[in-house]
Amino acid sequence: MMTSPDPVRLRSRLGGTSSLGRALQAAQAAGPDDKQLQALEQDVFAYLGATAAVVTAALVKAAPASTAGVTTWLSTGSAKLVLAALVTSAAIGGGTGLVLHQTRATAPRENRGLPATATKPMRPSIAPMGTPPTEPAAIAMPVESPPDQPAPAMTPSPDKAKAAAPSRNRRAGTGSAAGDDEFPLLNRAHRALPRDPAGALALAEEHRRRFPGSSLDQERELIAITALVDLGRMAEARRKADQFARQYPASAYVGRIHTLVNSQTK
Amino acid sequence: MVSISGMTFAPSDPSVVACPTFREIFEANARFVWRSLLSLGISENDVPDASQQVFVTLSNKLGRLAADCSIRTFAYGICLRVAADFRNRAHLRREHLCAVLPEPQAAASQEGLLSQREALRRLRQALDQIEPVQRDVFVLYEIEELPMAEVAQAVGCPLQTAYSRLHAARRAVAALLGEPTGDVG
Repeated sequence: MMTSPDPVRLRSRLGGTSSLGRALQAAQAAGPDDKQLQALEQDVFAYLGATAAVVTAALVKAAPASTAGVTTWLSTGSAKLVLAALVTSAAIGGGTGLVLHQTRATAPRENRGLPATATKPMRPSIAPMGTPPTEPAAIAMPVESPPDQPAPAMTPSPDKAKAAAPSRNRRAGTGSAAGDDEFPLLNRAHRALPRDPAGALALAEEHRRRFPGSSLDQERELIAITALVDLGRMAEARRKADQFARQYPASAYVGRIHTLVNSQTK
Repeated sequence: MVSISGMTFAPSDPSVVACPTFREIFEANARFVWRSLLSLGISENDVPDASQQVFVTLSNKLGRLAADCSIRTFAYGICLRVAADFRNRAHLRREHLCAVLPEPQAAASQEGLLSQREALRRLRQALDQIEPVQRDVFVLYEIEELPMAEVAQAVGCPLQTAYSRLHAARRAVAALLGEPTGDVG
């Protein structure tokens, strides 16, 4: 269908000859100065970094001092939070692997090279808003979203996230026995992806066999589909992507998987 | 490299379109978000906090970004909600929303700058007075200069509705500024 061209913008039509034209010019030139921009950047990334750090700190604090790594005692729910934090950490850049290393360490946090921003408290003004996540479970909402429920509203709901977590943990059904190995297994698969997609795929399949009905099933499928794409097994990747979309229509990963599969077919 | 919901992968096929990191998204959109919030009626005092909230929310929601939706359009949708939150709290913070600009300490040579600043102040006042749905379209089209198709997508209305809102907003803003409405129709 032909669409009419957009109308001439007022700034072009009026120029600087009218107060409205001058105001539009000024509005377009408005914005933060470099100092304000830098402060905003620090605040945003400190908030996101601190969120991941809080998850890790809570896990490390609860770990037995004698264990070699806290991942050996993680429950499925806790592991999901860590994986979610890992996802968030990777998303914001510069933090990839940070959470992983911390969860495996038993040294005090200050000795593990946490960036300074990770311990910076978030701005107090954020908390009363109610809409941003106030704790790690909320910041990782994409992986907390139950597959059989509609996607949450645009505004995150920390309360819902907290309420959903226990039931998701119970749904795993195998308690700590399953959690013992589940997260390390998936984490190995994730880390293997860039260099060894076949290995990553094998690990994902192993996860599927050993942990049917896991609360990390969406993450596993994401890894498997990515591996298949990397291996050029596009028919299988598309089949899995379709199955994923049917099984988890409200998942945060659906759009990205669609993009990934289709970007390879063009 | 491809990033899926924050996981960064490196497919063997280099033809895969690279997805930006969140830091790149921040750098590309920070000024846009800041400016949009100002135009949506958020006071200069509140814009830093509102901007932070937009980006924190954006980081959560990137996984839901539809393939045919630009990040800027998506971010503006979040700006709308965050701005609405701030305005809803206006009764608690009226003093901030109504704060006047600092008294300028300017020399005569800066008269043009002051005139522009005053024009901007009046524009923001006018935008505060028109219908929010009209203001959103006006801001995106006239200030951010998004194509109308993207404007309609950002505000969630049909294209023709967006055109109607734009024309209504133009007339309303011109009238509030004492401009001839015939010049902007």
